Amino acid sequence: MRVDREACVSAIEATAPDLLAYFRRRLPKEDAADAVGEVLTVAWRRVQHMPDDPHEARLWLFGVARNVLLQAIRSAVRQTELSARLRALAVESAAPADAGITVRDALGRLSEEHAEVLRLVHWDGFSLTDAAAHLGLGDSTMRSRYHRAKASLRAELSVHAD
Amino acid sequence: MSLVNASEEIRRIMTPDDITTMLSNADPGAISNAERAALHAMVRTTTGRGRLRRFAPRSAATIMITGALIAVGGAAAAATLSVWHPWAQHPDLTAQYTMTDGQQCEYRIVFEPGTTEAARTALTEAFTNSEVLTPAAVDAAIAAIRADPGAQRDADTGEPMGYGTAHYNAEWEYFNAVNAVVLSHVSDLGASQELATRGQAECE
Repeated sequence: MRVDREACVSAIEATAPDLLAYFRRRLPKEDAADAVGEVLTVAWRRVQHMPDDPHEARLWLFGVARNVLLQAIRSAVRQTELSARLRALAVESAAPADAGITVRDALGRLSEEHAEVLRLVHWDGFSLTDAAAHLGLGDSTMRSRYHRAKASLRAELSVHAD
Repeated sequence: MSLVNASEEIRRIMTPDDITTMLSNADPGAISNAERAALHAMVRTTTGRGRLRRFAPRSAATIMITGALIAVGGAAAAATLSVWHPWAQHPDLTAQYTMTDGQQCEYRIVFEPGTTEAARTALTEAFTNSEVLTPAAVDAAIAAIRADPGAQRDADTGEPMGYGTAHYNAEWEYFNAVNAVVLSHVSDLGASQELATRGQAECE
């Protein structure tokens, strides 16, 4: 299979910031850079499987990212020279405490499946259909899970606001 | 549920509300301009002209490459890529070799705690003894690998990569055959249980 290298590079470049954000929402900030580095390595090794359509390529890259995330959760993310610069920047730009911490804490108290749906839709910009495909769920299952996730978050926030 | 009803439901539940606003304000994924620039360089380093492929899966504790393929020493083909893991910065064994498609590769081996002196000696001999990794030995190893198409699996997905499968890769097969020959030699010397290594290979 012939690979259009420039098209692949463009797809990866276009998605890379969103991949970094994806990991930053789910891993310690300093680990996110290494996780992106791992995605780039894996993606390029399997580049012959990358879809031609930009949207499909983006979803494919997020699929790679999900596998890297699951691996990272199971074991410490490997530090690479490739991501050293980005890792250093992450430490330098550590976010100050902000009002969002209440919401993030509440999100952290939800079940992982509820929290992940909300992260995908509200932070990563996935449609419900794309989020369903990303998680290997049916559309109707995704809709009901999303409903329940929002209700759970609202309940968590209400409890802690009382 | 009909398609029309499903669309209406999606519109209704996706309507911005208090939760949407709060989540938006709490997003920890902001990326600075400096980070975007670093990402751009990172992508170009990985996917640029120097094609990069990693042949050492994270789970491979005993992957090695050796023998007639190796010209130890000389300029390190991949050293300029700056992609070596920290543990591979100062390798115990280094090899340069050429893959079947002509790619130049460098393979670095690091001994981990637990490797006995006998195992070090056996592996080093396997790397340097030209009678170990002969073409015939590699061919025999390939034949053995092909006899079990499920023996080769993708380190990331677990999918079979053996001969005749959809993900078959001749270079990966060759790489595994070389490793099998070396491991067999180390085993013949009674040292395979005492071997603990990490390996990283990069090609360009």
